[in-house]
Formats: sequence, C-alpha cells, structure tokens
Amino acid sequence: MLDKLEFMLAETFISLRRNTWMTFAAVTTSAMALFIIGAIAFAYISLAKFAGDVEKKFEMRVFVKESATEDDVKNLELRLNGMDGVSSVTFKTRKEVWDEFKKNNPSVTQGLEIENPMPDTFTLKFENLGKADAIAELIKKMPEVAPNDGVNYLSDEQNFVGHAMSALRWLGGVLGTVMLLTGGILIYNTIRLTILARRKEIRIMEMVGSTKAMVWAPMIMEGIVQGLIGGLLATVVLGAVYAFTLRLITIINPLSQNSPFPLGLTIFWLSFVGALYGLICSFIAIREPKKKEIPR
Amino acid sequence: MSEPKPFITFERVEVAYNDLVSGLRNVSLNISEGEFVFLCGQTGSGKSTLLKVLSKQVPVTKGRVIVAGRDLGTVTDKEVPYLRRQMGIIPQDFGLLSTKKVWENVAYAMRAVGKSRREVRSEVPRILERVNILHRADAYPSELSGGEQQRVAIARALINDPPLLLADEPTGNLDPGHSKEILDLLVSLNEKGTTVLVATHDMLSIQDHHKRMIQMSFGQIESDVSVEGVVQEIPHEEPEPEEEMQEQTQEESTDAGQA
Repeated sequence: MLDKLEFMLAETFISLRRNTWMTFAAVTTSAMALFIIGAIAFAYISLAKFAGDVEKKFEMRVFVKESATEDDVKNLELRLNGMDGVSSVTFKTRKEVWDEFKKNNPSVTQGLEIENPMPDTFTLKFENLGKADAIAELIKKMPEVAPNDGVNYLSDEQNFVGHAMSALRWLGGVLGTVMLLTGGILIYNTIRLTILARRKEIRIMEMVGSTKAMVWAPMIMEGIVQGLIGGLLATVVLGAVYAFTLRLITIINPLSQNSPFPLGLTIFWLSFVGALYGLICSFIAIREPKKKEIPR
Repeated sequence: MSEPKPFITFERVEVAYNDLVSGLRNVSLNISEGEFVFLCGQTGSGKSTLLKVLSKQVPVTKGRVIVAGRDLGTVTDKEVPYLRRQMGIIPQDFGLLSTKKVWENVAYAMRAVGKSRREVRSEVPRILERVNILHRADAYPSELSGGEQQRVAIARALINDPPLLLADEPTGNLDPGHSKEILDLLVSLNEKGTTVLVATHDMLSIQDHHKRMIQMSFGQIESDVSVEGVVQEIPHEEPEPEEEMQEQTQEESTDAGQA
C-alpha cells in the first residue's frame, strides 16, 4: 500500500515539476482567488462584529420641548413605552443630564457660569434596529418632543455599516467567482497538459495492466496539491496584509483594540477549500480522456 | 484421446468501427496453449484488431472471444487491468520512456502494476537477463539499436510473467538482421511455454521460422497454415441477403478508400 502511495506521489511531483510554469500560473491564480475570498470574508466578519457591537450600544435620545409640563412628560413616556420595537425607555431630568455632561466633560464646562441648556431626555433602546428610522419619524411628530433636533441617533453610522456589508457581499461574490473560475480553468488546463505530456506513460501503464486508480490518481493528486499550495500561499499573503492593516490602525488610533490573526483557522479553511477545488477541477479534467481512449 | 481445450477461441467475431468500416468479419479460430502463431496480412487486414480484441482495447461487435476459459464479454472494465496482466503486449514503436534508463523502463512498468521496490530490485535483472539486455541496463533508449529497444519492450511485457505474448509488428521498425534476432527471442520464450501471437507483414522473416501462419485480408481469415505446412483454406460463409448488401457497401467504401 505504502509502495503504491509512494509511486503515485512520485508521479504527482514529476508532473508538477514537468509543467513548472503552468503549475505556477495555476497555483498563483488559485492563491489570488483564495486571498480575495479570504480577505473579503475577514472584512465581512469584522464588519458584522462591529455592526453587532453598534446594535448593542445603539441608543436614541428624545429631547422633550422646553415648554412641556410634568403631565406632558408622563404622557410621552407612556407613549414611548408602548411603541413597537422599543425594548426600554429611561428618563433623565434636564438637571441630571447637565450634571452628567459636566462630569464627563470637565474641561469644557469648568468655570462656565451659564444656565442649564439641556432638555429633559428620554433614552430609548431597540429590539430591532431596522425599525429605528420609522420610530424616529413617529416620535418627531409628537407634540411633547422638541422641534427640529428632538430626536438624536446614529442613523448615518448604521446606514454606512449596512451599505458596506452589502457592497462587500457583492464584491466578494463577483471577484471571488471570477478568480475562482480563472484558477479552476488553469488547474483544468494544467491537468490536461499533464495528460498530454504523460500520454506515453499512461499508454504503458494501461498496456501492462495498471489499475485506473494507479493511472489517474497522480493527476487528481496534482490538482489537490496545486489547490493546497494556493491555499497556503493565500494564508501567508492574508496574514501579511492583516498585520500591515493592524499597524496602520494602531498608528491612527493607538488605543484601538484588535484581535490577533486567526492563523490556524485560516490555514485550515483556505487549504481545505483550495484542495477541494483542485480535486474538483482535476476530476473534471480527467473525466474526458477517461471516457475516450487515449489516442495512440 | 480428446483434443486439449484451446487457450484462445474466436467464435464468429465481428468488430465494426462504424457502419462502413469493419475491423474483423466473422472470424473463428482456435489457438492452443503454448502455440506460436503468425498473423499475416497487409495493413488494414485486421491482424492488429485481432490482438486488440484480446487485450480488450477494442470491443467486439458480434461473436465471442474466450481466453483461458474466460469469455472476454464478461470481463468488466474494472477487471481489464487484471486481464492485461495475463498477457504481455509488445508494440511496434517500442513505447519506451526516453528519459529513463533500460532498467528504469522495466522498473517503472513494475511499479505501475503495484510491485514493491524490493520486488523490482530482485526481478528487473532477471527479466533483463531473460531477453539478453542486462549488459545495457544503464543505457538510455536513444543509446540502443532498434533490436535492443525492442528487447527492452519485450522485457517490459514479461514483468507479470504472462502465459500469453501479443506482439504487434515487433519487427516493423527493424532491419532484417534485428528482425530475426527479435523473432528468435520470441520463439525462445515460446519454447519455455509462453503462447505467442505475432502480427506482421514481414513475410521474409516468417519463412525462416516454421510456425503456424494465419493469413488475413479485409478483416477475414484467408488461410491457416499449420506448423506441418498443411494449408487450411477458410471458406467464407455466404452472408444473408441483408448482410450482403451491407458488405458490398463496406467493400465499395474500402475500395474507394484505397483508390
């Protein structure tokens, strides 16, 4: 068994060496495809995590108009609590808000002798961020709410995250598919070239009674090795790009918290996907000559 | 005393490459174990097709072929490699790997059928010795004469120690001296018990060896001359009217092709 495996591996590496440039092209294209898919997956996961964090922290502030009475405030609180999609409503008087602001921003308020400019404020949290825009519109129309800037929330940030995720999905899908197709065609072509280059060996093997597995397995293994090397190469490039990006972020924001590059997981997934892809492409490539007799 | 069971039997075998071109037409013959048979005829007479039918490189359209008691029609695709290990195939063009030395060419074939390194190490010299090429074991095919290259091809055909050797024009690329050398080698292997079938159009070389000779023409057996020199003319059965029409078309197309 080990003897057979050794023979097949030797045949695989002879083929890889024989078609050096074609192998190089197939490996680098597969690596590029896997790198793009990997990078976009990374960006997408990071963005999804960021979006999750934003969602958790997401708050809407509703400022009560200056002329509102105590009854108006109670009435507003009841109506806000009854709104669909709102998970919690907390109230702070204008004094509490001002005290908190002064505590958080002493450099701004120190020595400032002005009248409290803060309004009574409700803080809303949501069960579903998707409804935030609709709720904001409803609240703005309520008479107890301050006109103009009565509702304050991070709608722009939320929209940006949503758009970025959607763009990444498209970009990943299109670029990844194009690159995967190119890599696949190159692997397919390499295997076809191998079959052509090895037609004499294949003929001899068939003549002396080699099993189909013995004849064709080296070509399948060649595809797998190409995909595997592509996956490993993509991991190296991805790791380097990740490290570089991290350095840039640290320079811009020294206090930013970043998670380390998940090396093991990336190696596993990119190699696995690469090898699987190589297997599929080489299998398709050998199917045709297997159906027909090799021209003698 | 009853006659021994034939080793190879062709029963009314037909091979059609397409509607108009036939490889074999209604071929019936028996070959005994240990026999040496020359298949003669011009190019396109069907002798190579007959050998290819035996190694299942070409499927039979009609009829039955039995080798060592096994109907080849029942041999599945998976069994074909094991069937081929029961026969050594010697091609006209030698089919040697130019980047490998003589011993490596034989070793490669052995490794390809799953033999271990140890088996290869012990058996390669023995096989090369059998065909008298051991002294050139470290030479590359390009450094060998045509006869020597054909010896290597014969050595490769012997790796499974097969009871049957199929040689397709083994002297086709050789001068008369080397042709005789190769045929003598095949005869010597036959004398040790191997059944040998040689397809050739080299009538000169055949005459020196008094062996059974099957003459073929247009996919049919024309005559079968035994070792003793007894000529058996093969009567061609009258085809059915429908078949007659088809055969006429085939002949016309062949004639047209030759013209």
